[in-house]
Order: sequence, then C-alpha cells, then structure tokens
Amino acid sequence: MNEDDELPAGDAKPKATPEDAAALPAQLGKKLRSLFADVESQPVPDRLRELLEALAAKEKKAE
Amino acid sequence: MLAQLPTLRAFAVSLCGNFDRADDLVQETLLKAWQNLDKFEEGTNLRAWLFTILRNGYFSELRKRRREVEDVDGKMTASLSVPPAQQGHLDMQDFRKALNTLPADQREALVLVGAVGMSYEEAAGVAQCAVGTIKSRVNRARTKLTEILGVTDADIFGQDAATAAIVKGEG
Repeated sequence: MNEDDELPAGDAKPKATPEDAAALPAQLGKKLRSLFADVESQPVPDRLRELLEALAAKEKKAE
Repeated sequence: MLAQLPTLRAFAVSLCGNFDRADDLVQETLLKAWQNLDKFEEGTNLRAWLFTILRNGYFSELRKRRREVEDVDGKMTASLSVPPAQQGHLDMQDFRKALNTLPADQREALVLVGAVGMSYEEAAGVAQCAVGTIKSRVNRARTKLTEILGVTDADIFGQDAATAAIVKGEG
C-alpha cells in the first residue's frame, strides 16, 4: 500500500462486490437457521407435553 | 407427534412473533391433529401435515383479527435502517425484528425453506400454493430483509470498513 493511499473513514461502508452480493443469501440463511435452532433447542413447555399425554391416555381408555 | 413439537413450536414462534401466542397456536394444532388423526395417512409426511394445520390456524386467525403488522407506513423499516456496520456485526435482535416486519406469507416461505430446510415443493404443499409462488415469496423476503437490515459485506463478516478495505487489498 502506498503512503499516498487513504484508508476509508471508520464509518464508511465498503462497496459490495458481485461476489459479496452472492454471499448475502447464505449469510442471511445462517442467521435465520441460528434463530430457528435457538427456539428449537428450548425445552417444550409442560402444558404441550401434558396435552399430548392426556390425549394419548384418553384414546387408550376409549379402547 | 412429541418428536415434532420443538420444530413445530419454532415454526409457530416465527409466524406469531411471540412465545405465548405460539404456544397457544401449537396447543390448538395438537388438538385439531388429534381430532383428525383418521385423516392422516400413516407413512406420509407427519411434519408437513402438522405444519399445514398450524399455518392454516395462524392465517385463519390473522384474517379474523385483521391486525397483521406489515409496517405499511414504514416506521419499523425506518427504525431499522441504521446500518449494522456501526456495530460491526449483524445483530440478532435486529434480524429478529426485521423478520417480524415481513408480510406473513413471505416470512412463512422464508422460514420453511431457509430455516426448516424444506424443499420448495414441500413448502408449497404446506403453504397450499404453487412452487413458483413459494420461490417468489422467498426471494422477496430475502430482498426485503437485505433492504431493512442495510446489510453490506462488512456487516455480514463482522469487519469494520477499514479492515474490510485492507482485506480486499483496496487503496
């Protein structure tokens, strides 16, 4: 790099290249999957598990 | 059905935007599914069947309430237009907010394909629309998200402008 070359200002946004634009969907997808996985990994609320168990028990009784 | 619960719940959260409503929606879905179990053909796609019941319930409720937040006046979009470059990374909180501003059908399509990992065909089956429609919704959702988040390459890769320039060998 030459002495005369200027570094961009700290808050200047670099121009996106066509390659960067092509990478955008992948990066957004990564964030989306991360967000989704975060909820998926949470324990299922008791009321939902208990509902399924109650429904299964009811069906068993009916048989 | 128990095995499907975490993914079903995550899908509900992505549609509703909050956990309480999502859990109510999942509860209603489980009840409907159980009541209509005779209509489900064993060996076919249980996940898709449950997802269809859930999304039908969500959109039916939405039509009744007519309170979809589409950010018609652009306030939410404006509030998110501060470039994440100033923070140096794509903020998850902003991403979640941006996702919630998408029209429901676009958000649904993006989540089914981009997060759940469904094929366009499977997602079209759940959303009960043509494959072309799903593809269109996904593309529009991605474009909208990019606009809202004001994403640049530096933002995505967590670099500030000076670092990005050096990495690219600019100047």
